[in-house]
Amino acid sequence: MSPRTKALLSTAGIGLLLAVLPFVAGGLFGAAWVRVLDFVLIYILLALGLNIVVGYAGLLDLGYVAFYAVGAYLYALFSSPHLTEHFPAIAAMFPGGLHGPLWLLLPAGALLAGVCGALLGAPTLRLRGDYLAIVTLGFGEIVRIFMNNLYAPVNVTNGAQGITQIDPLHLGPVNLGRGLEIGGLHVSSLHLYYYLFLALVLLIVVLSIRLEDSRIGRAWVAIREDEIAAKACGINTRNVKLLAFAMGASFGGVAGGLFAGFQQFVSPESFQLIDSIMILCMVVLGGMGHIPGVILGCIVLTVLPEAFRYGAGPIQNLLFGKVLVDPEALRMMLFGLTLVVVMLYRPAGLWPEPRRRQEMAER
Amino acid sequence: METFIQQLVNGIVLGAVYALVALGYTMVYGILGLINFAHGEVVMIGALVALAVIKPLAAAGVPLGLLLPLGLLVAVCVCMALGAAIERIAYRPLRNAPRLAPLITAIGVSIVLQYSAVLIWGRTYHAYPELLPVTPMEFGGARISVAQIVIVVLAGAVMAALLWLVHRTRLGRAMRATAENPAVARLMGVNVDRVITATFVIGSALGAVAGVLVSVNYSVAHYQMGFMLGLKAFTAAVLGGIGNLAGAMVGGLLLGLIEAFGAGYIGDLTGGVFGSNYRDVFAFLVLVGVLIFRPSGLLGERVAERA
Amino acid sequence: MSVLLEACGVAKHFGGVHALKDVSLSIKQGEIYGLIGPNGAGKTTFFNVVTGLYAKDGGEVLFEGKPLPLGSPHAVNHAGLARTFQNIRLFGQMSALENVMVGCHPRTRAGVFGAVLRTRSTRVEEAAIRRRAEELLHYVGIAGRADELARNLSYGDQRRLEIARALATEPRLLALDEPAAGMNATETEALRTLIEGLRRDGLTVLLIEHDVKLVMGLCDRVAVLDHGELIIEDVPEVVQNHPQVIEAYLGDGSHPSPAEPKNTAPPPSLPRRAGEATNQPPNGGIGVEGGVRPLLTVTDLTVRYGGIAAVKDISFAVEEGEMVCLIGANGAGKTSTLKALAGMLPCGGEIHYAGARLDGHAGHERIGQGLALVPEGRGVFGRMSVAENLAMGAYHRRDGEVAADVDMIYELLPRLCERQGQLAGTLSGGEQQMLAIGRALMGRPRLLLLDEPSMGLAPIMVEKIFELIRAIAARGVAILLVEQNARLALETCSRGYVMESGRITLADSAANLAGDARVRAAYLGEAT
Repeated sequence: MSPRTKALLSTAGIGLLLAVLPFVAGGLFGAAWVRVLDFVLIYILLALGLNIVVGYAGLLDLGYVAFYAVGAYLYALFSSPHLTEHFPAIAAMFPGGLHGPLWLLLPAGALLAGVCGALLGAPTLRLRGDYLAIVTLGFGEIVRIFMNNLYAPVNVTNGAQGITQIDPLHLGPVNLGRGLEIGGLHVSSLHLYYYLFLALVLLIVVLSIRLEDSRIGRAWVAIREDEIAAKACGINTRNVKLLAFAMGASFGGVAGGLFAGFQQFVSPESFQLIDSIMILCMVVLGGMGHIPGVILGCIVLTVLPEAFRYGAGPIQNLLFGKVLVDPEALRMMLFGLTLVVVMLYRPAGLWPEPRRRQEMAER
Repeated sequence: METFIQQLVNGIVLGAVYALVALGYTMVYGILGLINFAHGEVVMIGALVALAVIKPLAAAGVPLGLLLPLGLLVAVCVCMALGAAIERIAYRPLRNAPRLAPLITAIGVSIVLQYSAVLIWGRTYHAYPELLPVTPMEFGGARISVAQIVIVVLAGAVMAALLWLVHRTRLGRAMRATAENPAVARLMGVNVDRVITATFVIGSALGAVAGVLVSVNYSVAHYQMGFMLGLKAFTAAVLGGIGNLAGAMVGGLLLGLIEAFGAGYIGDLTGGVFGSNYRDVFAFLVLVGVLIFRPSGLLGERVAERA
Repeated sequence: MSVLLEACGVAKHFGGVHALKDVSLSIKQGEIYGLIGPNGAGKTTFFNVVTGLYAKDGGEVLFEGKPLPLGSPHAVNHAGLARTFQNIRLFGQMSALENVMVGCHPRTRAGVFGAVLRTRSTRVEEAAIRRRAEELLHYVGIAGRADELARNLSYGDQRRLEIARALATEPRLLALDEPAAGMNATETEALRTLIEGLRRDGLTVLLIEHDVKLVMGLCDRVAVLDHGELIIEDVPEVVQNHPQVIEAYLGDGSHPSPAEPKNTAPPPSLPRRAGEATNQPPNGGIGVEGGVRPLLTVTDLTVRYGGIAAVKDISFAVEEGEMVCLIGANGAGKTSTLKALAGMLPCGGEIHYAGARLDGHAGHERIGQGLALVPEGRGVFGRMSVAENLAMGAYHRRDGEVAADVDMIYELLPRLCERQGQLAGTLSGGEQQMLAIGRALMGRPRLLLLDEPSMGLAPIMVEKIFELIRAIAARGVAILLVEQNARLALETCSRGYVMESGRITLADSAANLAGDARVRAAYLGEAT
């Protein structure tokens, strides 16, 4: 077998696996796990975005979830009755209600998040590592506080109640919230979302790979490796860093739009610091700057807690005959322990770039 | 005017607590150049441990005056051990690892601590017994409670003790030398590892005191209390100039005042558009502003970046 | 020849220290221009100002007649001035080829959309970048290592790679900061050929270098900095014979220096083991009296930084009460040797001190064994007072004589007594050096390791510091001295070792070394 056929076969194999995965997972463990898969894909989108900022350019961003929120709220506001209910002027303009199309709202979310990223980055990017982390963390919290409180005197975000009745995602005539009948076969809503998200993940993976292997990608890595040397090589580090920030943010904006349409509900609850940290952990734990590693990180950190969630209660019941400890707390504790243990034993992540692995082996 | 004095008092009380917690951050940062992400959770554990000691003692009829000192003592001891453990587990093995690795372990430790607290104490808000009279007295138009006075005095005393320790003792000298140049400190015979552990231990002790005091002030303790408090205290440390003890104290006090006055006046200033529910925004606005306009903080020295 | 770069009155200070005072010089199109001066003279600071890394505090720099955008390194690079770094700053996680490809950044244009869409123009440009990078690697002679990670390259190859990366930015002027530091003779020779080739290809080169022989042989014109001031700017022959240069850079010029033209002597045979040389087993017991037994015996000491060995299997000895110096070019491994002895660096080999193995002890335990290091750059605790610095020196001591020793130090160094309450960071350089030595003495060492005690000090201060060192030796403390001022070091000490590229290449009495033609040529700055 020539390497070419081999590669073709393995691609086909992976493709087939990805195509049937939701049916396998749904069949074996129940529909809830298809939902978990959908979330894994959303997290992969987020993590690949953050990977550009943290993994390539080496900028520690702890407020990344704010861009996710921007995308989500943009989609929510323009495809739910919230604005028409609270602003008569808008209601008059759109008598049929606001139902923004996906093809418009996703790019708009990406753009808006990207602009926000650049705005946030402009004053802060000259700060060094930890300071940048804290400022971005502060920005993330400010965004959340505004989401929580911008309901009075003008109701923009509906505060902690969040925005409800968001339109499910539509692809042309297909309503992904309903499911689809194809020749008597019913494909459920969760499965449809899976395929849409998968397509977007593949797209973003290709984008990431192409960016990584380009003049811009090299400049990002150069800045991560040695900023002063990068400057001396004629790289305008401020602009290139801003670009990383904006690119990463725009991926987050796309993921936010998908999330809002998928959940049909957004509230500040979903955009807390812990979520930023979670995404960062996926990137670092998987292997910063290495796309397969980041994807692995997302899978591990999404599936593991879910497994704990489904496992912690029943296993206690089985062992002790009753639920002894709060399963949710146990789940989070195990999550925290996982972070510590993985970092102690694999400081470069679970699946680092081959070169980095080599470096760790040398130690 | 009454609002002014009232907010002044509130700000000083709040600021004293922020300062205590900020010292923990600033000491660790000064010596390792890392943010101890788990410090806020140490504060929370301190508050809950003290409560766990105080409650049964109070039920057993131990006199009121002894409860606070006993609670503080146990909380401080537990948190010191915790601080040493955090350093050992999350920081020491990763001293030469990529910068992000210790950050992630510290986040991991802080999640473990938070949910250990849930497992032990549950998710409920725990009412703190009234150890000190919180019924306010009138002072020049402001209402001040004995608890508030005790908080400020105690925090001041602890900080004075810390300054004495750092500036007048052999250990303190070693700590300052290590913060400035660990390699040369080692040449002088300083066991740098031990000094770093001591730094975590002392910072955690201060955190425990702060945790108990803040719980006494608000009469409540709860597993998530450490997070926001820690974040704001870190802001205070940055505001004052991270790595600088006096800076942490000044920064803490200032942040407390900014928050108190901000929350007190924002409604009037914005014609009611923004209410005091935006109080948390101030801390972060201050943080962002300081870092952008004066990254070295108020008392920090400018560090010229050398090639 | 037209002027390419002209510096007019450039000034820079750090805090109260004037690193550069009113420096004016001009570099002509197509020449190789050398910038020399003792350590701490301000060469690298000048370099960093001109290449935009430091903001200047005065003056102006014209490049091709237009002011350089100082303070903005990438804009300086765009203007046509590329540089390398003294301490090699490569992108370690990237391959050699990728490093050079990064260098192509300022002269190429592809943006995000081009990268994402892989447009035709982007692909063409990308192929051109790759081709150019390969050519440059070939040009500097490391084409075979294109796919290796930069951090895994050998020292010499890393230097070459840095030059290739700088060339990729298509500069008019290439500024090299100590490119020969740490190179052996063969590598230096190859470097010389490379730099000459650059000039032949039309490039102008600014060279900061410690290897005087290299500078004098290679450069068309040479400028000398001392204490932040320009002493002279002229052709090498004139510079070499300028009395002020000899005074400032080469130490005391009054020392008799008969010319020894022959330079064909074979390399000396080395004492393989210090133990053999002194006919003393390593565990010779503690010989306090008499002063002829080895106090320190080093066998096969090796120090590595990552993949690069800075010190390679060296062996030497210091006897009780003896003054020994270690001389050699920058990057020869002298400081690494001292750091390894003091436990600041991990090392291989054996260190016997006062009859016990020292290498098993952690760094902080060694001062308790009676061994103190005064580090390069003094390392005083700037935010602590003079008295506190001295107290730190006695940190490990629990005896009651600390106060008496402080008085002894103050008696020895009355200057410190006057300033005991002052923060060490506010002292002058010479006072800081005194404090650093005084602090080390507080540990009651039997062996004092001194790393570059004269660095950055005015001649009168250097004199005082060396008086102090002699006074300390007179009290019976053995001294191992690393010093750039080779003449002064050899005058002060009784024995010396010469280090080159991590190895000891000569070991002899100080008088013999001072008379050795090769030493004179390489380290005493005399033409051969």
